[in-house]
Order: sequence, then structure tokens, then C-alpha cells
Amino acid sequence: MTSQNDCKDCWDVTPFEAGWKCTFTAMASPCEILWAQCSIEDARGLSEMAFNEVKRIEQKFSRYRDNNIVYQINNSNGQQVDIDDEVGRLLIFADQCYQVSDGLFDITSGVLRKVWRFDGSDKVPNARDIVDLLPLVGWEKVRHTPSTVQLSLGMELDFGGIGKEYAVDRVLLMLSEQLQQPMLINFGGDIATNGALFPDHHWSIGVEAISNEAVEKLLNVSGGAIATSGDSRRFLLRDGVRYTHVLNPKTGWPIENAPHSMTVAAPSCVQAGMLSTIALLQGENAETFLDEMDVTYWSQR
Amino acid sequence: MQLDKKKRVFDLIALASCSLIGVTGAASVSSASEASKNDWKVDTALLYYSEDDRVTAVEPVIGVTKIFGNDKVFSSKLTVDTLTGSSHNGAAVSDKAQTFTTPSGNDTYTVAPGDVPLDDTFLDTRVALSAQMKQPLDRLSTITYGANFSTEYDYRSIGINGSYARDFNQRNTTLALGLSFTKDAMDPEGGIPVLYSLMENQEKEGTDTRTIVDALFGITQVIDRNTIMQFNYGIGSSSGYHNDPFKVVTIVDEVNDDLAYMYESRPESRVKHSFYWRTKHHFDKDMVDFSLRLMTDDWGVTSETLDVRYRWSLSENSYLEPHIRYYTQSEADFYVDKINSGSSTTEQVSASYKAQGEDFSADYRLGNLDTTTVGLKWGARIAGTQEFSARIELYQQSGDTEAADLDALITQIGYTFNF
Repeated sequence: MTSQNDCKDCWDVTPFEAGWKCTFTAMASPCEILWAQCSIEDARGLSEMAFNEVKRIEQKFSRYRDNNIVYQINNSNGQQVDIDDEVGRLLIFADQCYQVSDGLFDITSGVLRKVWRFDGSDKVPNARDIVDLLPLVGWEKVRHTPSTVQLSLGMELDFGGIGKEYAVDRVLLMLSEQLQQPMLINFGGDIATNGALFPDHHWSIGVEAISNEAVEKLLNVSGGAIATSGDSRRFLLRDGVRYTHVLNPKTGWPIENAPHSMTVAAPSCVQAGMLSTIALLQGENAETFLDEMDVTYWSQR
Repeated sequence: MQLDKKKRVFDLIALASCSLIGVTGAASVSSASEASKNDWKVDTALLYYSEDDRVTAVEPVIGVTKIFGNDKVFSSKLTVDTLTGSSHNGAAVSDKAQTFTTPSGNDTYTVAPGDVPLDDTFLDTRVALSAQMKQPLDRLSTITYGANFSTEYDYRSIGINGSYARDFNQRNTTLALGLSFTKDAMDPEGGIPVLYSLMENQEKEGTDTRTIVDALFGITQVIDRNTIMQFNYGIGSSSGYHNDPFKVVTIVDEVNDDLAYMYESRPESRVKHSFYWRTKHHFDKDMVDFSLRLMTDDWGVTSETLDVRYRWSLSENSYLEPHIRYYTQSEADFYVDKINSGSSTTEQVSASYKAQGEDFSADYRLGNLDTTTVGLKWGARIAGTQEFSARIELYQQSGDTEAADLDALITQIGYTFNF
């Protein structure tokens, strides 16, 4: 109904059965926000606000840009870099996740992608190249304070494992402060809602099936968040072995026997995302890891 | 120890997430695998209706709904009614024993002095089938079309319907226009009684039909996030045979002695206007559903129906729903409880009514009538999308004559599942 025509950075807001739907593409994912009835002006205002926030986060934390804080940190040549409050908070979060996962969740492991290219081919790197990179991996080598960060020469930070979930939670928080209405945020399958539209209502969320045999799973969500980690399309296949894109930062090799995907429900999207990522890093024990935490999850193997 | 560690991991992740985002609480997510979008939804119910000393009905209902990927919705319903017991034949209560001929004309039955004349040969099975398809036309409008068919021993009905609905005003308003066409055919055993004929003569002739056209104009308006209102105006026109072939009127003489029974005669057309207002309001957890229906027709009948339901959520998965319904109706212009012969013979009365074409009926359903229904329903969701419900209702009816006074008990159990 209302759109900025034919631009790459555009959002679109249209009515859906019980309210408004805002759609746009960001962070390489289709993004969708649904909320209950309000005026068209409010709907446009909220769409604009959500879109701007997602773009802000994308631009700030993307490692494919050369004009943001991540580029500055990753090209600091061992020098200390000043960071703002938001980056500081994300680093503290990354640090806590590193600690609780016994070093398996590590935002410095992104450099391994220089040799691992998960393009569906059979190009598995040789061991020597991986060993050469391992000294550049290890969060324990990063010195950080709430306002500064210092990496060893050649190391890199990658916020890719947190960014989308963070954006979902941020946008939900921002919009629900503006409009006291139930809404649903869905950025490429990472989802959060502050409640259902009315008492009998729930949001129906489809979880994409990985294999052809599996049937799409439908979830009823009336509060909280869900996030999915997995290797649906990003993997290497050689000699019948499937190498998932979930890498063990300690060895530089993919985690073995991990589920293809893990969907977890939690109060916030970052929490759900972290649980699903850390669960995948447990490999064949992914499900038992979550079973004992008493969280709701769906794994696909 | 392992478990404690996992719990600690969970708590730490929760804490870290909370300090990053500031959200606490619980996720409310459940699998809807049973309601995956390719599934069929099946509603089953068994209703038992029992009037004191009169009709008993057992009615199983099965409905199926399927939602297709392109927002098309197909629904279909099969109802089977088995009626047994006895039904008022129209004659007045008398202080003498009365003897009537059965509708088939092959037998007689006798009613004791002071009793409401009930035809106890009443037994029928009705099978009704309907199918409906709803599909979007474009982003804001939908069309619905369907057909229904019902058959019983001496009666058949077939109908088609179609409607168009369009959303306006940012989808806060929906306007709907509907049209339906129904053809009924009556074929009682031994034929239809000749109008104004006396029961003792058993004059019957062939079959007859009735044609009904209904039009509906509706507005549904979202008032606020919790309230929705619906207004409908309907006009229905029917022409053809409107009589109940089993209903007679008592002809009495000046001292109120029963002389004979004459088959009724109703007008050959009827035009009804109705207005309907419904409001649904959601509270935090509960819901109230209120409706009012006003009807008037060119037979002189006016009626009002008030219906209120309150859905009281006992928990996330179960509710109690008290229900109250009140209905009141004024009599048709041609309603009588009996006909006085004056000094004429019954044959003369019959001939004279026939010559003047004067309509009359002693069917209490066309007299002044008040009914009250009070009920309670309990429903619970079990195992995901399966739902179980039980309903009990007391129905009380009173009218101008003793024949109209009756109490009934309605019980129903329902079960809904997907496959």
C-alpha cells in the first residue's frame, strides 16, 4: 500500500488480516513485522523506525564494510580502539557466552572463514592452512573494557552470530515502547513477540524443513522468541562427509554430528539464538544439552 | 552435577541476554504440528434433545474444514437427525377423549380427556449435507459459495448460496452481500391434505413445493482492538406451499363441544425482514458475545431474540461458557386456537372458509410464544489442537395454549481434532 518504489533500501507496509505488515530485506534476510490495528500514519512511522534501526545495526556490525567500527577493530593492527556503549555491551555479552560455552562460542573464530568456504562444494581446506590460522583465534587473547578493545595483530571480530537476534530484540523493544500493541518481529526466522493479538490468538510460525522428506514444522507462538541455528544451505560435502559451517574454534574444524538445525524458544531472541548456537556446538549431544535445561526446542538431523 | 552445570549455563545465558536487551519473562511457544497447514480439521458433536413427554432427537454432526495454501477454505457439514416421540397436531385440548387419523390415513389414535393432542406416530430421520467454499478474490475481497441439501421421509430441500465481502477503512470495516436460493418439496405419505378439508374425510392430493429467496446485507466493524460489531439486514421472500401437512384445527360448536378437525391453510407467500446486531468483546482473558435479532413479516409475526454468552477462561486451555437466550414472538394474523362453527355444520364451515380463502392455523409456533434457554458449556483443549466440549441447556417454552407449553433438555458433547 505504502512503499518507496524500486529502491533497494525500502520498506513496504500493507494491511494483513488483523493489522499491518511491514516488510523489507536486511541482513541478507527477508524481514517482516506484524502488528495490530493502528492508523496508517502510525504504521508508516513504525515501519520507518524499525527499518532505520535494522539498517543502523547492519551497517554498524557488518564485517563486509570498510566504514564501520568492526572494520576499525579488525584493521587496528594490534592497537587499542575506542568503542561506544553498545559495542561494549555486545562484547560483554560475547564474553559471557564464551565463558559459559567453555570457549566454544567465540566471536574471533570468523578468521577461519578465510580457508573454510561453505559453498556446497567439496573444497575442504588442508590441515596446515587451518593450523596456521588457529593462533588468530581465541577470545581469551582479546583485551576489552566497556569503552575500549584491543586485538592481537591479525585477529578479527565477527558479530554475525549475534547481530540478527540482537536486531530482533532491539526492534521489538523500540516499537513496543511506541505502540502499546501486540506485535511480531521476524527477521529471517529469528522471531520475537510481545504477545498475541487477542486471547485465543497465537502467531503461527513455520520452520523450514531441511531435507526433502521432512515436513515444514508449524509453531504456535504467543509470547517470547524463537531462533534457529543451522547449516541448511551452508556446508561442504566430500567423500560422503558433510562439513557444517559450525566450526569448533579450538580445532578449526567443523563440529561433528551436529544437528542440521536447532530451533530454540526463549524469552528473548538473543537468548534463544545463543542457546541454539551453543547447543549446535555440542555436536551429537546437542539435544541432551537442551533437554537438561528444560527449554523448548526442535532439532532437525 | 552435570545437571547443575547445565542449569547454570542456562541461567548465565539468560542473565547475559537480559543485561544486553533488558527482556525477562517466559517464552510461550508450542508445536502446532497437529495443525500443520495441510491438515483437515474435523468437528464432531452429538446432540441429544428431549422434550418432556414429546419429541426426542438424537443428532450427530460431523464437520470438516480444510485450509488450502492459497487461502481457500473448504468446509462441509453432515447432520443426521433422528426424531422420535409425539408432536402436537394442532387440535385443541378437550374434556372428552379425541380420536384422530394418522397422517398416512391408515390408522387412528386416541387422546385422553384433558391431554394435549399429540400425534405419537411421529418418527423421522433427517439427513442434511452442506458444502461451502471461501476464497479471496483480491487482497481485500473474498467470495463464498456453497450448496446445501437435506432430506427426510416426506420432505426435501435443496439450496445454493453465494456472497461477496470486501474490506474497507484499513480493514476495520467489512461489507458483505449475500444471496441464497432454496427449493423445498413436500411429499407426505398418502399425499398432502386438501386445504380446509375435514380430517375424517382424508382428502389428499399429490405433492407441493416452496421457493425461498434470501438476501443479506452485512457490515462488520472493528470498534477497538477488543471489540467487533456486526450488523445484518436480511430480506427473505418465499412462495408456494407453507402449510404443515400434519396440522389441523378443532371446530367446536356453541357449547364448546368438539365437532371435527379441519386441515389448516396458510398464505402462499411470506416476506420477512430481519435485523441482527452482534457484539463480541474480549476482556483480558474472557469474552462476551451478545446478539439481538428483530424480525417482522407480512403474516403479522414479529419476534425478538436476545442471546448472551460469556466465555470465562478457567485456564489457558479450558473455559466455562454460561449462555442465556430469550425469544419472544407475537402471533400471526391468521392464528386461531379453534374455530367456532356457530350454527353451521362442520361441512358448511369447511366450505365457507374455502370459499372465502380465509387462512388459519392452530400451530402454536405461529401463536404468541416466549422461550427461554439457559445453559452452560465447558470446553477444554487437550493434547495440542484437540478440543473437547460438553454443553447442557434447559429450554422452556410458553404460549397461548397448553400445547405450546413445554420444557426440553439439550445436551451436547463435541470433539474437535486435526489429521
